[in-house]
Amino acid sequence: MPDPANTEPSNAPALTIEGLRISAATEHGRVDVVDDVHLTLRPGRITGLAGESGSGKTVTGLAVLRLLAEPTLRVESGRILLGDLDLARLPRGELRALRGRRVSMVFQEPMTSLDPAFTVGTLIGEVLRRHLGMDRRAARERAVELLDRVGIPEPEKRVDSFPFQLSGGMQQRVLIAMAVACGPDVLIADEPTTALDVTVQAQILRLLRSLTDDGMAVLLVTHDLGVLAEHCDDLVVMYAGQVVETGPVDDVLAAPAHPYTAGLLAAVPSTARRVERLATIPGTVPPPHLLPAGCRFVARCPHAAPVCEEPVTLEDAGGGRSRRCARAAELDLEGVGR
Amino acid sequence: MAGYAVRRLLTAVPLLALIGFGAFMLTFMIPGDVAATIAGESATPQRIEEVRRQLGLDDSALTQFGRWAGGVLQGDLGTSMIHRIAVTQMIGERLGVTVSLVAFGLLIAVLVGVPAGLVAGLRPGRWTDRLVTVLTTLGLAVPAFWLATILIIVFAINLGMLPATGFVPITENPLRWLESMILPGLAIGAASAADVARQSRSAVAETVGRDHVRTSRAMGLRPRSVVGRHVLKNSGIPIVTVASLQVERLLGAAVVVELMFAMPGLGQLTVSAVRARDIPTIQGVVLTIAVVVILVNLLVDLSYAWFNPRLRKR
Ligand SMILES: Nc1ncnc2c1ncn2[C@@H]1O[C@H](COP(=O)(O)OP(=O)(O)OP(=O)(O)O)[C@@H](O)[C@H]1O
Ligand SMILES: [Mg+2]
Repeated sequence: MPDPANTEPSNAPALTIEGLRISAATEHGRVDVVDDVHLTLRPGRITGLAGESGSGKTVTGLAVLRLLAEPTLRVESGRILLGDLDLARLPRGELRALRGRRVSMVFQEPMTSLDPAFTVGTLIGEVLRRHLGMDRRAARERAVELLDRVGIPEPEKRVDSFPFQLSGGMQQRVLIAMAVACGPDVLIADEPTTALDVTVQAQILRLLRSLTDDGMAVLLVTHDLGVLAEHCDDLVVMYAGQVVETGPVDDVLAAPAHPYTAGLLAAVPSTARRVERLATIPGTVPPPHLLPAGCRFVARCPHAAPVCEEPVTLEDAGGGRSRRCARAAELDLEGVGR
Repeated sequence: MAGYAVRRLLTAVPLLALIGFGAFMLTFMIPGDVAATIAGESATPQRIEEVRRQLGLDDSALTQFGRWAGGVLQGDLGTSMIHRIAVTQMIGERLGVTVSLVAFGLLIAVLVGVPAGLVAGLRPGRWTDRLVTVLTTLGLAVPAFWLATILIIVFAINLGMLPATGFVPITENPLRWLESMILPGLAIGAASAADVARQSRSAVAETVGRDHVRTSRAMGLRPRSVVGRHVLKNSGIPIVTVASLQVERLLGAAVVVELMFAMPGLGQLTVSAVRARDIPTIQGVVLTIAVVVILVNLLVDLSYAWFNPRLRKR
């Protein structure tokens, strides 16, 4: 008889974040910029992380690899579990050995994120040599294969190119090749296509999808709900440093459980199929030092009620979904039909 | 890369010609009359005139320049008017001393300055950074001749650890050469080390904040690769630039310090030649130093292309 705890290996999370709280030193003193973030990444699935600017998406992503700009930014509490390893507490040396090998990251600006002083072959090879102990020649051969894998034409030639000799899309492919060179379990992609033009965006997103075939889990940070709808399996919505809603993309888009999610959907013409209903959420995100004690969205919420002044937790709603709204059960929010 | 080097070398030729012309013409502005010096105190005006004619000083400036330049092209810098020896020979005997001293000072500047700048720049605002800032300010404020005096008093006279004067060629006795280099090298190298540290610090501090350094951390590279390869190579251009500027500064300081340590280098030669208005010697020294500086700049330019691949495509 198989042990019921691990009957479905593909269902075991690749990465779990529990109760993550991150503070930042600001002119208003030390304030929490991320608070009580929970999320789960599953093997072979792309999880979209959405939210307005300043909601804490990048900080959350960087925290997974412990790349926060210390001491300005600091993880205060919470767990970041990769299997049974807590990345938030792992000794530095062990963490470094995992970075690039089991957890990896690609960034928004491929142009500035690649070292201009080395060839792409050297950059990719360096990761392989560091983690897999390859020699120079083997690393170079593998680098050519990886360039081919991420869709770079003439990889034997391109391996000796410097980053500045490549287009933005090609640079992002190189960055992805570096990140996935050692076959990581988890890839954090922080707005990897924002700096690229639209046709290239779609190619990069399809590439990410194809890379999940081997079971890699992806956290895709994006502003773009169109990208979420089309390229993601699961969705995590953040507002003012908190996760306000999670669930499978299709379910959440069809019937959002949090008024903020519903507002986002209404605000984006590419997902709200009815363009005439284009609206924006009135008001702005409160800065981290001026957050209310209760629901952080209360000042902008069309459904706000006295109960919303009380602190509210992220609660499980069944069906793989969760939400942080005191009135979720009574509201019937409009989503987008698919 | 080779094409770049050749092109760069060719641009040095007109520059050298220009400097040669400048050096030659400059000597006409030096007050005093070498003919009178050579003819002696009690010489008659006719005698002085005769000496002047013998030396070819009555020809036009352009004729004199042509004669001199023709010699230079054949590796002949002329003959010292005072010592009656070939200028090339005199410079050859002394160049080793000055080059040793400048190279030693530069070595100190780089070996002290770059690590100090690295330590400070990697963690700006820390106590190590503040310490380096204080030391560089101090180092830049202290004149070489003053430091030389202090070093001689402390290490040569009081402690008797190192020689106060003299120079031993490295070919003769490497250990004694090193001993004779330490105090003058420190005296001229301190300010340069401070300058190199300061520039390295700001270059490194700027580079560590770049996105691609975060990428190398995200890929799990060890700190020594992140710093030693990615940070250092990307900070290379400002560091090499400031180091190359030290060559000029060190040459200037060497003139003074050679005199203080009684080292038979170009500094001594220049001072005595200027005093005696020994024009061919002065011209020879200026040209030699110009060649050294141009060669250094050429190497520096080539290193830029190594640090920044974008420059190779030009
Ligand atoms: N280095 C820092 N020092 C201080 N505060 C910071 C720092 N980096 C981010 N923050 C703050 O943390 C909060 C979250 O920022 P973060 O960059 O994670 O937002 P984001 O969701 O990624 O936004 P965007 O969509 O614009 O990328 C913001 O309030 C921001 O001001
Ligand atoms: Mg961001």
